[in-house]
Amino acid sequence: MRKSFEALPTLVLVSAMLALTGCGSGGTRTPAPAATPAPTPAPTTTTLDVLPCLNQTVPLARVPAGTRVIDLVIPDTITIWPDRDIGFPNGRLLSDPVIDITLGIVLLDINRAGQNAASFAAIPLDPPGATKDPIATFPFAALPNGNPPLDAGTGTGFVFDTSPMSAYVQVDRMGMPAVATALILGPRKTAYSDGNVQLDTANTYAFDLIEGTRRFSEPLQDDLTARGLTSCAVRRVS
Amino acid sequence: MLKSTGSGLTNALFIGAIGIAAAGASAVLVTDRGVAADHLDPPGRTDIRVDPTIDLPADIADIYTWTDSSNLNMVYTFAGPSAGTLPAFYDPNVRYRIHVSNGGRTDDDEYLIVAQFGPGQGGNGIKFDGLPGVTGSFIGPVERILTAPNGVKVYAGLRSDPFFFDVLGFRETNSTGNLAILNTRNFFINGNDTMIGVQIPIAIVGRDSNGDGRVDNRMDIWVDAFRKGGQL
Repeated sequence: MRKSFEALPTLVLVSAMLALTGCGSGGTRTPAPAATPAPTPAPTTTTLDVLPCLNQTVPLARVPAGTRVIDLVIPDTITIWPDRDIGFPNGRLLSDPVIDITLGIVLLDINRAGQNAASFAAIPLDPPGATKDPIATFPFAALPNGNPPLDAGTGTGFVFDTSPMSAYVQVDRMGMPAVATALILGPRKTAYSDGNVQLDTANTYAFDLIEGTRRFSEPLQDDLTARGLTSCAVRRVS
Repeated sequence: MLKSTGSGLTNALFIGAIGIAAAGASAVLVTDRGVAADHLDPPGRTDIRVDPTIDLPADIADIYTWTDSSNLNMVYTFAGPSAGTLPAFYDPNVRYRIHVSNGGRTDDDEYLIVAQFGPGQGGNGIKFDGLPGVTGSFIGPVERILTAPNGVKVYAGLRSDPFFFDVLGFRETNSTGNLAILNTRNFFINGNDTMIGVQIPIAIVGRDSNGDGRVDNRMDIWVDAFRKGGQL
């Protein structure tokens, strides 16, 4: 089972985020003057706390009550609850607007009246579909675009490499869309791709997800406000 | 033969593929790393600006998976988006794994499906090991739907990239801090992926715990890709 996200040393994480974001003026605070006729106001730093975003519950009937955003990305798998309505984030259909939904649940207070996980998808923010619609039957993906040379599908006498799995090295992994690409920051991407879901549940990459979410969310706060949307993130002053 | 080997890939091919995929968007994308579901990630292995020997065949694009009343469906795409003039990437030195957890721990697979390509006479083949309810390896040609005796279906071939996303707008958003995503701009338009599809009868992996006639066991699906001998 995954470790409880609450088990993370939240104060340590928030402190670390404050430290990361509070270094914009050289990384040190100006010492307060010993005594002056007109005291200089103590400098303040602010940081964007995205833990409320990751901890918010996803108010969709297609996922079990109480499912939080962080539960959907740790471990990095696609989860299916077969007895509920299917559609991202309950499974992933080829036609699902996964990026718009992901942006919605990461950026918005999705439990606030008037906005929800599908707020961006309803616009839509991104293109509404792929080049070709999926087909109704297996293998579901549409025929290729252009005029590529295709294998005739009549080969015989195939030769497969028989090396043990130990001769192979992991190059990439994936579960939830956009997690590795959008939320894991550049210097950590290779390490993340080398990881596995057991490391995910051990919260090995929890800080990466928090910091990646914060870095992504920070500059968009004014855009959300300008569009009358309420962010799930909270600005902390220290 | 339509086989493309990983070592045979050229940077020019890759740039061409991305350039075509980005046609109508911006020349910037020709040499820009895409940000997507997982296409072109990690950049240290698949971004031409970082790694001159990119591993496109082992670059996962997406995993789509869902259940319907009859089946668990999985569509695993990789090596894309490629231009509409390019063949599929049937690299015999890459192994593609699909993990299926259908009980107990959510990070511990009950089924590990391994797929790999192999050249043959007159075309390429694909071999699956670990298919639920299928004993031994299941082998057949690409570009064909293959059905095992227990109803499990598999397919491998070239298909239209099912993904859609304004990569250019996302990058501009990240660099400027201003929301700049456009719903009229799809980086993946006219691109193709190589894909592996697996369809498993729900009776094989599903359970009805309360007798109401509906499968109700949670399932977790994830994928990875391995290169023989390590990174290119």
